Amino acid sequence: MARRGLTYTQVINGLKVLLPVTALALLSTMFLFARSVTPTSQIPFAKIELEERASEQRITSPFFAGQTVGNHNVRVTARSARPDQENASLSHVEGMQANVEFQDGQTLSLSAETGQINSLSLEAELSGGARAEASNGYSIQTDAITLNLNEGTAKSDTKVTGFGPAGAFEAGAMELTYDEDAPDGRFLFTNGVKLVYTPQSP
Amino acid sequence: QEFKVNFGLSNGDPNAPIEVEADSLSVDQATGNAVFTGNVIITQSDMSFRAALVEVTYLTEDTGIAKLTGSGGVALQSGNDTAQAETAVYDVESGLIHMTGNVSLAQRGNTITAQRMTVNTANSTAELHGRVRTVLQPAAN
Repeated sequence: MARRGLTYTQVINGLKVLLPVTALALLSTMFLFARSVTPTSQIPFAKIELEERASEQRITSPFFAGQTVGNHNVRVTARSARPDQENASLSHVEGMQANVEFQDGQTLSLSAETGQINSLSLEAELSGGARAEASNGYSIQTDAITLNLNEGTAKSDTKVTGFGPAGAFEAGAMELTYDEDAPDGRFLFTNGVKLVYTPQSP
Repeated sequence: QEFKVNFGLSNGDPNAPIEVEADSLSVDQATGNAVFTGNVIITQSDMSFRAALVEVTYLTEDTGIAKLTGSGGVALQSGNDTAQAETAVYDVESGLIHMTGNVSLAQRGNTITAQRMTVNTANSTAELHGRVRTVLQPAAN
């Protein structure tokens, strides 16, 4: 009375062999078709930049904060800074921003694409097109400005163009100094000043 | 007594742009007031105003210039009329120039002196006050 066709036990015995074999096959093919994920190439550091960064000891977003002799607060931040090869106290800076907060609360912010800070003479030189904006409404552009972090004074002997409540003006040179009747600072524009003011119709 | 004359030929547009040239400009950082020093020349359309020192006074909330105060010897020139005084205040909004301190006005040969003079750049007239004296040059015929 042998029953034709597949009996239950035959199916199970067949599966007992078939299933592990397919598992093995699946396992082995996994490594063949897997995407080649090599971890090292994922980090976005180009090799050159890595070497350059290591050799220059470049630091990112450094900052300097202090008070001038006239106790106005000074803060200098930059995108990156790296020391000068020969002169240790000199560091080349990129994306520089210097803020002077005067005692009376007014502020002056200077910014430039490149610059140098000399930690010996405490002078920050903003170059490559420097901008200065004062909270009293004056804003100026020039090639380079040297800011003395200790005195809180600034000096620029390149042509200055600017805008203020009195209109647009240009001058041969500019200086931020302090004296007894202007303890909170005085902007002095010299070497010839030309200002154009167009009165609004009242 | 008062004495009215024509002064200058400027079409007197008080809203014409004002140009200021000087040797140096000093701006007080705290108060923001500005002082031009060193042969200051202010020109507006065809009127020119020279002074040794000019102080700028602003409108409220620094929206513009209210007055230009010239001192240390002021010379005002418009058309072929010139006027000298010790100090002068140019009220930009109204277009009036108030000159004080032994004012002398030279017009086509004759000169008029007075203590004070107010020039109206809008209708190009001038009013002289205080001990007005005219010195007429007899025309050489």
